[in-house]
Amino acid sequence: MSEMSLRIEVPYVTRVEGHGNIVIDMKSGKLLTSHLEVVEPPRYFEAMIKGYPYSDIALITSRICGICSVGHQMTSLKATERALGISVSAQTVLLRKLLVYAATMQSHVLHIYFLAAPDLLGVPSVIPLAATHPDVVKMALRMKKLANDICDKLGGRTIHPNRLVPGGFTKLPSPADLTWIRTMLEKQMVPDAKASLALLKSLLPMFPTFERETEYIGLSHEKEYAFYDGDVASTDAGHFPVDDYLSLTNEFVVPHSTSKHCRHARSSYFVGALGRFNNNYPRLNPLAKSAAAELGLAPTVKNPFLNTAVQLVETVHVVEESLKLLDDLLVRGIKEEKPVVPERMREGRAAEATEVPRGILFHDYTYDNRGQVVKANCIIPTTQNTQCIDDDMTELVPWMLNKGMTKDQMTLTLEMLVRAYDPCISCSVHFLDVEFRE
Amino acid sequence: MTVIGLGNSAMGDDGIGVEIAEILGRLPRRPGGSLEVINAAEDAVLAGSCVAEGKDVLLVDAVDMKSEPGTWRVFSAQDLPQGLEPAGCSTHALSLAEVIELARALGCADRLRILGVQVGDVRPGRFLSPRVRESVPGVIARIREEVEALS
Repeated sequence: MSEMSLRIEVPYVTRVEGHGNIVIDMKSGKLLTSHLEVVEPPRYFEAMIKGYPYSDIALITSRICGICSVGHQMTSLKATERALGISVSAQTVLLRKLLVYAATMQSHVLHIYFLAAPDLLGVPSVIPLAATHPDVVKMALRMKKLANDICDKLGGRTIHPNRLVPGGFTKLPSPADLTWIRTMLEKQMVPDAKASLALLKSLLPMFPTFERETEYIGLSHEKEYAFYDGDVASTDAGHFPVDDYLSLTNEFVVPHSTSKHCRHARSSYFVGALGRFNNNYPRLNPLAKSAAAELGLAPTVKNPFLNTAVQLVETVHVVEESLKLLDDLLVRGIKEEKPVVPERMREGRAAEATEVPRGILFHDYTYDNRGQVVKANCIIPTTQNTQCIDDDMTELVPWMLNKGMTKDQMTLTLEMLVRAYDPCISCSVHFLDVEFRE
Repeated sequence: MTVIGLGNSAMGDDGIGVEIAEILGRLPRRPGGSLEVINAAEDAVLAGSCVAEGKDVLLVDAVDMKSEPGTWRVFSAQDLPQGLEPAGCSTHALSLAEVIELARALGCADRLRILGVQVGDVRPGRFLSPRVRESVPGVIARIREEVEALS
């Protein structure tokens, strides 16, 4: 290895949200470059929302991502409400949490089955799996559809919900809707999640055994495995308030990426399922905790590839948590409530955070006394993870060389690493190129 | 019949499928009618889920079939070559091309049809270009005819 030279370039890593390139350059045994190049153009949402009224902001920022639209809306609403002094009801919080859990289910199922599983089964995409394992693919489609249907019942749309506004909901789900969700979770999602667990357990030997300890960051709440709110927890630095998020993220610019990078106590940190799990493990629900045990997962999980396995544990957790919330809501009954509006418009600023599937998400808004945005800052999980991916690659390349991997094996393993982070590089236009067979 | 609107309404004409789903969703439904409308926005996998459930799906999306903007056409997976590759970048997790291939692999592509509208302008922006906007009444009328025929 001391005189080894190696060049790996993966233009447009597939099965991630958006576009990024992997570049590895080693000369005479010295690793010169190990980068994920994010090549998407900036999207200027923070500038776009300047001058818009508080009522519109969550609907616009939802469009930052088609997969994490609920998380963006939720974080946006919470920041707006705190900036303008709006307090929402306990019922609103319960319904929002349910929505966050459903959005987490659909995103995790998508990543586990459609984006990550093909690597574990040695096929290029989910399409060959549909031919060889149709029942598994149909189960994955069924799980994702149910999670989307729950988002529809609660938020009015499968994605980009339109019933969520500052102060509450414009339309509330009926008791029949909640009963339907409860029944479907119990009868369909629980058995499918258990079957997924057995399947993933059988695939554990296919995960690379690479480990690199880093700083793990996620929301943390004393009473629950945090998704909706809490303090920020770091495995290196303890707890601190969300208001201090800029001292955590420390964004900086690198020449090889249009995405900013972040660092805190070390050269990089990890957010996502591992960030949550390593900070919230004691508050996992019982089935999820036993799922973690079955998969051999306990803090501190240091293998980034196992982010995917932890996502399944979280899927089990949010199903259990949803069932608990639904029982609570069905006992309380749904009360007709109108969205709370500000008592008087005032200047204000607030930063809020939510755990979206890919990690902790920050939105920070400053409003003027007309309730219009004058300044905004949104820091998404993938921005926080890009430096961590680079740092992983820097250690992964020599690890793979020591294992005697071929260049093809190394290329695939590097792609698997990027996919394990479930990165959401960008949202952009897409349309089908049609050439008819005529 | 399940009509699924797909696209990114923040990207000009790419939002035509979403626009059609929104309009259809607001129209009064015949009691006991068979029309289901889903606004799937950027999530093409939902179309795969519906097809795998055995539903007859009409997927409305922006396409580039090298014709005049606003031109639209209904076609099936059988009208397209095998081994479709995704075009451009996607936030759909799976692209529409991949969903068609997935339906083929699951043996249910015959339940999936696509109503494709030729895009003109897909630069960032909330509005459809004039010629694609003009296609909306015709597309809505075609879908309503199909629903009436099924009823």
